[in-house]
Amino acid sequence: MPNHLMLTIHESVAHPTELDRALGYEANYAGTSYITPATIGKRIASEHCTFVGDRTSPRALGTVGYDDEGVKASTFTIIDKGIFRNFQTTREQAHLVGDKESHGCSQADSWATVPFQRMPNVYLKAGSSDTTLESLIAGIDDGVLIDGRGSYSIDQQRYNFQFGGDAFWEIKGGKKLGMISKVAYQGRTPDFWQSCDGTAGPSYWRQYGTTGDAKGEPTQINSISHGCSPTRFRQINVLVTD
Amino acid sequence: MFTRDEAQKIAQKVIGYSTFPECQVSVTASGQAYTRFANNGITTASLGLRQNVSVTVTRDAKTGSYAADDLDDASLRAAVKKAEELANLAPPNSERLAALGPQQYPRTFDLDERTAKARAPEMIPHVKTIIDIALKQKLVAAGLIERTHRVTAVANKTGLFGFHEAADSQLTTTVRMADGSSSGWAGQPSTRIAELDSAKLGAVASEKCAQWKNAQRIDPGNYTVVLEPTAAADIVRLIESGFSGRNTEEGRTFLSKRGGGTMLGEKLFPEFITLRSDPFDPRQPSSPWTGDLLPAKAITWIDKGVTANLAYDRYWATKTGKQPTPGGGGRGGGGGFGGGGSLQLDGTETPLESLIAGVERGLLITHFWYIRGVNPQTLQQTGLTRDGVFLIENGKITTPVLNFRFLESPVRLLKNTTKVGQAIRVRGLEGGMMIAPALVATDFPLPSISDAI
Repeated sequence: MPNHLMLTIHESVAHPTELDRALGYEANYAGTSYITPATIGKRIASEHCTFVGDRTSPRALGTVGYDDEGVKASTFTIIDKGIFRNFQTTREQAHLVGDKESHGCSQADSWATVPFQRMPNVYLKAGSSDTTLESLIAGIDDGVLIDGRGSYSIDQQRYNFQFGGDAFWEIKGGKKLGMISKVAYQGRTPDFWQSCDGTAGPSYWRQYGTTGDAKGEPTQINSISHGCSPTRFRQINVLVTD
Repeated sequence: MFTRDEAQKIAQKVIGYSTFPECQVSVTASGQAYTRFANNGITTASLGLRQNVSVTVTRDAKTGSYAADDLDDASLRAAVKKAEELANLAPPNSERLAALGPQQYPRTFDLDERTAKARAPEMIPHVKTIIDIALKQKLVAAGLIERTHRVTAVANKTGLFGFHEAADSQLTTTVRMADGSSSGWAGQPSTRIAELDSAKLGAVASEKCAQWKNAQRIDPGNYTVVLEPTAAADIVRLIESGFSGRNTEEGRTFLSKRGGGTMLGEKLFPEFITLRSDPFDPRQPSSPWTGDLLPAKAITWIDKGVTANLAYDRYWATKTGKQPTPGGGGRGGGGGFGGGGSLQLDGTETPLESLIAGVERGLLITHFWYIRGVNPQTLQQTGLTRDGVFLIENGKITTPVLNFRFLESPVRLLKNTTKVGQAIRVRGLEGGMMIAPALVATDFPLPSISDAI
């Protein structure tokens, strides 16, 4: 569900597509990335997955008029139908991957801190209007529906993650059954997004915010929004926690 | 930075503006200087100075708080007025206790002036030392050297006043292969910046990086582990919330008994496990007052394996007929240890090499990353190993291995600990500090592999 998947997008799509991380500038704390400049043009997700960076959307936490280098806010494609296209960039670093201009992602968290590359709002585009939550569930023989935010943890190159929610329903034979507990799932980011086989249409699309995104040394925080529709993934390793 | 007298004058001025029967003021000033480096070069150097006054007023158990960064009279008056407006809107707090009277706060910390004043000229030579070590081996260094200096004063309308000044520093570095095929880390916090040993840290991180190259994939599962001090602290310090007296008595911690009661006084851990808070240890700065503004004292939480104390804040202690715990920390009963990062797990004289030599088959872990709670009652956590994991066979390090995700609680970890080594002050990647030894623990769950280097 969107209120859960938004933070999965944050951790496994938005963070690894930060250019400063990919170039080693965050190696001592936030980490590097499994995505490198050589990944541009390569498939890292299924064809159902198109992600955009957006600093213009009304009522989103990461929206600005201009970034901290004076670059006008814009919208840009990060992943197009599963193919990695663009890093998040600043003026200082965009040229390092051959870009002629920045995507406007420079930001400090206060007047007293140093601007550096921070993520914009990152959205997973909705699927076709005839894909519904019910049709996604109907295509599942044995699965779990996850809503809300639980525990989130991911490695420093954004490969291995474990995410939990705060409400879970068993799915059997294409039907949503009763609630279950102690659920988390582990995965490897590129495998996870390539296992996506459907996302619901625009009427299901929802946006949620997070205010505690930490990066940099000394740590700075960032507030951004992520949006998506209910989305289905196949063959995911679901585990029982304490 | 404020002197004691300057801070007291500001606090008294704010208290004088308040029309409410209770008014508590906190005056803080902080200075932070740092030099950051990556890809074998300095990327950022900064000096930041901040000041802040926060005011909390209470009338008829209704409380409001407001903070100001501008310290002119008009701004301070406006902050008090805002706090009083907010209090008028707030519902009464049924757990509100009357403000504390004057307290005698102990001196916890001898400020090191050199640390408090350090700027880039003191830091850059450390950065150069580390980068030179990395360059000689065609490696790539990143890191941070930082010092902080903080002055805090608290005061209230009853005449309570406390003043505390502390300085701290840290140096960390991650050294990676230029092609990203290996990584090593080392770090050191110190209340005395002159003690930061950049040559040693650069050498340790570079050696780890060289040794971890060509990490092999071995099966996930439960392993005996040797946790270096930072790795041990990364997990052990998360036991804190389990010692909340209120949460335990309400059945919400690992020390709660089914059906009621607590495990206070029970031997849950091995004989050699002693966990304490000591705000007077000169190795790590700590506040002289608790979150409830009571004077801080040293306290033992686990004494030779026995649960020795729970943390009671003033409200819950009053309600249950107990004494508030000097290290009781937080307000509202949730606090755990509180007390400002003075936690320490006792060690021994055993060096890390001897701990490794005693392991037939296990893993040596440098430190952990992105640790998050999975279950607040059992304290199960998940996170990942980082910057050096090595297979130990017959007492010797034989093979670098890929990173793992872990799924373990500090409670189970301490129960399964078989040996502890020498304790040192450490700082985890996500900022947690304590004095911790390396330790050996059995049956440590590592359920999946991470490809991250």
